[in-house]
Amino acid sequence: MARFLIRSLTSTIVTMLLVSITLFFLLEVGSGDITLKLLGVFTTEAQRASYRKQLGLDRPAWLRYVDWLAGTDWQVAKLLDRPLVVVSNPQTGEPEWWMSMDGELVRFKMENGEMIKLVRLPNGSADPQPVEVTWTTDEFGNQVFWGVDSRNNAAKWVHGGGEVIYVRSKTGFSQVPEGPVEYVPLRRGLIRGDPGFSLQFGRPVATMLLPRLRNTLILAGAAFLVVMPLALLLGVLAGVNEGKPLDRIISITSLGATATPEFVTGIFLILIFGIWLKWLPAVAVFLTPNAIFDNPKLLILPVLTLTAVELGYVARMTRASMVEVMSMAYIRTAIIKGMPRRRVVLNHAMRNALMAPITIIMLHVNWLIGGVVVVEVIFGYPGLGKYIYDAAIFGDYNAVEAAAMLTVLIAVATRLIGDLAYTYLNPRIRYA
Amino acid sequence: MTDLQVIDRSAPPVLKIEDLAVAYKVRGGEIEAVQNVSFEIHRGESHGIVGESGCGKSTVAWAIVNFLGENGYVKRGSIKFQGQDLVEKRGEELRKLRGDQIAMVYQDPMQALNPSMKLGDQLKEVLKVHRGLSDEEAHQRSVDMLGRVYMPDPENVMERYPHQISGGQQQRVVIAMALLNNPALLIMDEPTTALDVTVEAAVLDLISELRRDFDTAIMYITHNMGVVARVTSTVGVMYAGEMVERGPVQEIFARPQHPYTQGLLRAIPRLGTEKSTSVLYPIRGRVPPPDQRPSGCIFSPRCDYVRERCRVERPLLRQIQGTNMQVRCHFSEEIDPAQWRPSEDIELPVPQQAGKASEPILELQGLRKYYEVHGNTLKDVLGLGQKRYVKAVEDATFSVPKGKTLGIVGESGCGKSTLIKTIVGLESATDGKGRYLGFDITQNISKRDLGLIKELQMVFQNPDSTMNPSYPVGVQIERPLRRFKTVPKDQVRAEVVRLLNAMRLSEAYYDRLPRQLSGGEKQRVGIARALASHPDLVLCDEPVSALDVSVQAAILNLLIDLQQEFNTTLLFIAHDLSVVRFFSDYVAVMYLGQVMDIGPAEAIYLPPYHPYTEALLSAVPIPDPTAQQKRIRLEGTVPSAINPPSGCRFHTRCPRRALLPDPSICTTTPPWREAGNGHRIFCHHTIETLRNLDPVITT
Amino acid sequence: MATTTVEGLKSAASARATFWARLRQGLGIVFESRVATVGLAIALFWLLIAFVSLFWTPYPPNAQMFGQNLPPNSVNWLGTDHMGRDLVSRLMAGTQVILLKTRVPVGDKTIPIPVGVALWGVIGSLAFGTLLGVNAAYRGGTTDQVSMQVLDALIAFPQIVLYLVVISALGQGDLVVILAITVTGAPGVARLARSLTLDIKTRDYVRAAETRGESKWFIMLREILPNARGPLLVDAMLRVGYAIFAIGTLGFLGIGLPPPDPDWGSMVNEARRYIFSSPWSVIWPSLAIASLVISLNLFADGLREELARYQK
Repeated sequence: MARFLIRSLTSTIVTMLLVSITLFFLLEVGSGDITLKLLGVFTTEAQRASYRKQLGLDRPAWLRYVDWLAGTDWQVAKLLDRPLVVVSNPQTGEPEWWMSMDGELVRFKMENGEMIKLVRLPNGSADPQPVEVTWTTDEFGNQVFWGVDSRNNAAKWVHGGGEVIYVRSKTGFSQVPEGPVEYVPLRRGLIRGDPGFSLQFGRPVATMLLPRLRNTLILAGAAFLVVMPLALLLGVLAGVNEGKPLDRIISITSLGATATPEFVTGIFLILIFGIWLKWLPAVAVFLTPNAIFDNPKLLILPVLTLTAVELGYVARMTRASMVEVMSMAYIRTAIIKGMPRRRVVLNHAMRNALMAPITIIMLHVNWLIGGVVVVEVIFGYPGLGKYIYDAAIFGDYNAVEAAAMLTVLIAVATRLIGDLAYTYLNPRIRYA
Repeated sequence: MTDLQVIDRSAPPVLKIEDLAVAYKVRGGEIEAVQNVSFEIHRGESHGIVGESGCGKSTVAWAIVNFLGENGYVKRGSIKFQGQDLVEKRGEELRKLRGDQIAMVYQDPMQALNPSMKLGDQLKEVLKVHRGLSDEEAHQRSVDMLGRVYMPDPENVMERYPHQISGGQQQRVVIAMALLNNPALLIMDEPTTALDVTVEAAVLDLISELRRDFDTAIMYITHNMGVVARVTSTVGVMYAGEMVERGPVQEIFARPQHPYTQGLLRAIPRLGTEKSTSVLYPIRGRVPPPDQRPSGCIFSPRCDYVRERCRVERPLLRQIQGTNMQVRCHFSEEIDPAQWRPSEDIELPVPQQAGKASEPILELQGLRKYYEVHGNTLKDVLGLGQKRYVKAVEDATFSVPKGKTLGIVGESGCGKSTLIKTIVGLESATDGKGRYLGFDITQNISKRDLGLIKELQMVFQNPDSTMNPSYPVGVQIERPLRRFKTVPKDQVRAEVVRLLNAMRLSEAYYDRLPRQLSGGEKQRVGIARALASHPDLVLCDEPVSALDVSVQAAILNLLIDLQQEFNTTLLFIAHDLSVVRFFSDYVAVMYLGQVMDIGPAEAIYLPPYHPYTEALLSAVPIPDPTAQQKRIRLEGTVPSAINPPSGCRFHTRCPRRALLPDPSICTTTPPWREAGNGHRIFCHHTIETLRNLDPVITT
Repeated sequence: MATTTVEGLKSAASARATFWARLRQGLGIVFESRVATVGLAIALFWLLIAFVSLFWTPYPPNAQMFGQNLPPNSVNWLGTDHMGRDLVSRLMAGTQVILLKTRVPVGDKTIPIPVGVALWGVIGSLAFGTLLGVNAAYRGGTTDQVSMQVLDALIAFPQIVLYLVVISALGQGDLVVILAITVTGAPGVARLARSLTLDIKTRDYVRAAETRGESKWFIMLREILPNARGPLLVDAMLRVGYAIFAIGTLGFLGIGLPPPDPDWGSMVNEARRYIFSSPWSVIWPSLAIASLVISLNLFADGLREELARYQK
């Protein structure tokens, strides 16, 4: 059993690593010039190059993978002469990087070839003050200084005059005359829970993702709770009555339900309940972030759509497993022992028959997530699926990576739970 | 039955079957699997049903418990159990009989027990459901019953799952489960077929004992004539869905009346016979499928005494005057088995006196094969634990002369298959020397020369998997010819046809697919494929054990013939000691990876014995109810090959250990003792001690 | 040599005969099952539509020649879409990219090659998955562990997420959709192939090939694969259904097969905005896609059931 569990666990970790590598290189290396999309076609190549630098895109791909996965703060720690601190901005609630210097939190900018420190005030804004910094000499003989700039980068300034850089802000795209010459965007890395900033919105992905995740969990959880008992019951009923009319009805209906794409089911549900009967809202419009709690009706159609596909699948799995178990020699033994049919089904067949579906159901969670994407898009439901979809359409790969890793994590974790459940249910493994 | 007991035949029988016919609905019609079966079983009687595969034995059993599946039904006849008609029984009434009045024991106990339910729960529910006992009472009764079937540590077993106990113990649990309600009828369907011979012997002892004590009527289904002789009092012989003969077991063996029974007994080797002095006679032809049965006597196409009447009129089961025998034959009084001569269309080998032993072709010295195993504890997974090995073959040392046969016997897990796999190169040896005509054979096939590979070929056990279902026969025999370039390309087909003919198969088989062949025919093709490269050493891994006895005889004859013709050397694995004795010039007995006893075949079966050989011989079911056999039973189960007992691997179970002056010597490695004529015994006992053991079998 | 040629011809003839015999036998099995027959009939109906649409549709499928969002009428049997295009013609033409043609960009032109995107995708995953699965199972040990680990990683991706990722990285296009279907389908095929191989490799005929010293590839391709073919093909039938399902979903998400050829999923996507006023242009392609996927499922399901009964 220890072997089995440890194998599952290692396999899970290796899987996540492989997934992260695939995801990162496919997206970051496969995508074209993101700055073109962000800044528009009317920008010059020089402007885009400068912006690429600020995003850290000039660093080699493998290094960016390490940055993304494990963060950059520890990499730049030896360049900076003061420790890094993360504090949350009281206005936006988003985390920001500062340097701790003589009891103050500071960031830097350059004016007239000299460094200016920006001291953090309690309300989160910054107060520029002149400062004496220690310049060091690099291999080319330049006097350089590493500090944190006001856009969460570790940056290198050259004494006496910076480069012309182009900065993107909420108001637009502007030119800054004395910018740093080198950037390392600061992040703690995915494994420490920091997926970085959204390229599209410039805000931390994590803060945007969490409410979405909550919405999705509610949606998927509700579907799961409807599906499981119902599907297992239908599957067992069909399996026990193999070949009889009840089995035929359940089997064909569930086959129809699984084989119909979610968007078709969704469209028909909208047509019937939303447009013709007008019983339920046809789209999930979230006027406030907590709209689902105020108006649970919003959930009904999305949950029904998800349920239709899943119900069929799980019911079919359970039926197949039940049919197989009912043909086993030990079921024959139980019948010849004169056990009542109820007892044969409940005590002898059920436990063995549910072992296979439970693992498969857990494996199937990533199918459910796929369904979630479609359902959220149909109903405009602001969840994880719609987030990935929007980010992928825009090409915001930072956001796609984070959200995709999250879905993979959910899928892998449920699979692990499935393995555990199987181990628990199957005495042959439990007592091996 | 050696222990005769009085059966009261005046009382009404427990089970009375009359003119039973069972049919299965299939695609486009139905098949009568069983027809015209009639017999009765009394209290305390053990009624054997014997016959080859597909003759409908099990179908009769399923018909009795009314479990014929969706498509099966009783078409004609009646099944009366204690006067009530079972055929009409349905629902609750039937359920209350099953498991209470009628119980059943099956072939494969591992399959018959629910893998995810504790054994105790599976036992207790029988009492709870049928007798309404409380949990405590049911528990106590179950524990008692487990003790009654000699299950060690019953309390503990109640808490265990099926996979945690051995096959023999599982079968004891199933038997205990069947006996809990003291049923009037106990149906046993090949209960020992899946078990090893020493375990089988102990279970058979148990069955005989229980029959005496419980006074139950037993219906015992088996294909093994030896088992029939040991546990039944009355026997019904079935052939192609019909019961062809029925009578007391002694008479069936002494004076079989039906030509089929006679043929069956001529086809099996008796323990002690050998190929140089006797011949096995297969029954010609094959069992007709249910939809192609002849209209007259069902056995007529294969019968040596067939007359016109047999072809047109189906005989009835009738009493032979002045005997207790019933037979389904028009002419049985006119048949004298002593006058029987084999018909001309079956080919038989001519018994040949063994020639002088020639140069050894295969020599092994201290050959070892270990497999690394992975533990399941945390330590093992992290690689911190000690490396452990399954010691599958330990120190195999012997040589085989050219043109001779070495038989290897032993129970499952004794390493006999690993040994020949290592020789043929499917595994590489861990240690030791192995030479084939001076060439090293300790490497596996990928490192062997093509010329060496073609010299060592194998014949496999299972006819259904020996051939690739996707290719016709010709293609499969061609492949080795092409690969080893045995003949020029343009003669390949001619060579295949020649090989087919040598297997007594016509050219028509060239384009047939395996699924169109019978088991025996597939096995012939398997032999042809092995012989295509003209190997000098053929390794046979239980080539006949999956075959029916009449087919088995034909395959053995074929092998004998081929060996004489090509002077091939054979290594022959089998678990049937009579077959090995019959077929081999030399025999090696293996236990837990170690060769224990090796020598000329006739020497192995007489004292001096290795104590393990002695136990094996006393366990073999002998197809002769009058034979006297010593009763030596091994205690416990075979130890794990990962951690075998030190010194003599057999010492933990050795029944002769007490004869040693100092039994503690057993934990040291025993010496090889020479018993003369090349017979060597791996034992601490002196040859004199072993020579003084009584012979196991006296007839 | 003359004899071998004659024999060669003879065996070719007998092979052909067995092919027809097998086909007849196969169809016999299909017709035994009502479910499979219905499935086959619907699937063949769509295949027929696809072939007809190559030569004839009521109107050109991309021509905006009618009123917008018309309900079914005598001119436009199923109505028109929001751009005034005939729905019958578009539905018919929509079968082509799935079943009959794949548009391959060569230079700055696109050239259609035979066999549709769904089928190529399944062929790809079948080839890739089978090879991986058979190889992993037959060789065992480290090869098996590594292969399974890679597959685990692929399976861990929710399929649609993988599609989104692949398409956002590589852009839209028929070949990208084929690649996406291949990559998402291969793990399932590989698992099936692996479990079949694990069973088949214990058979004695594989042992026999090994004792002949055959190469590993010979054993995998000649001894094992032919016996795993049946279940793999039935599974592939189901996978064609899944692939059409996936193409529809991608089309619906607006990232599927690129224009100009109509594609059912995209049709639903475009018409979705007008669902409140004119549901027809959403209903028809939805029904079409559901019926095709369900029919393939019914066919494969019935076939599998009958085969299992046949082998008993």
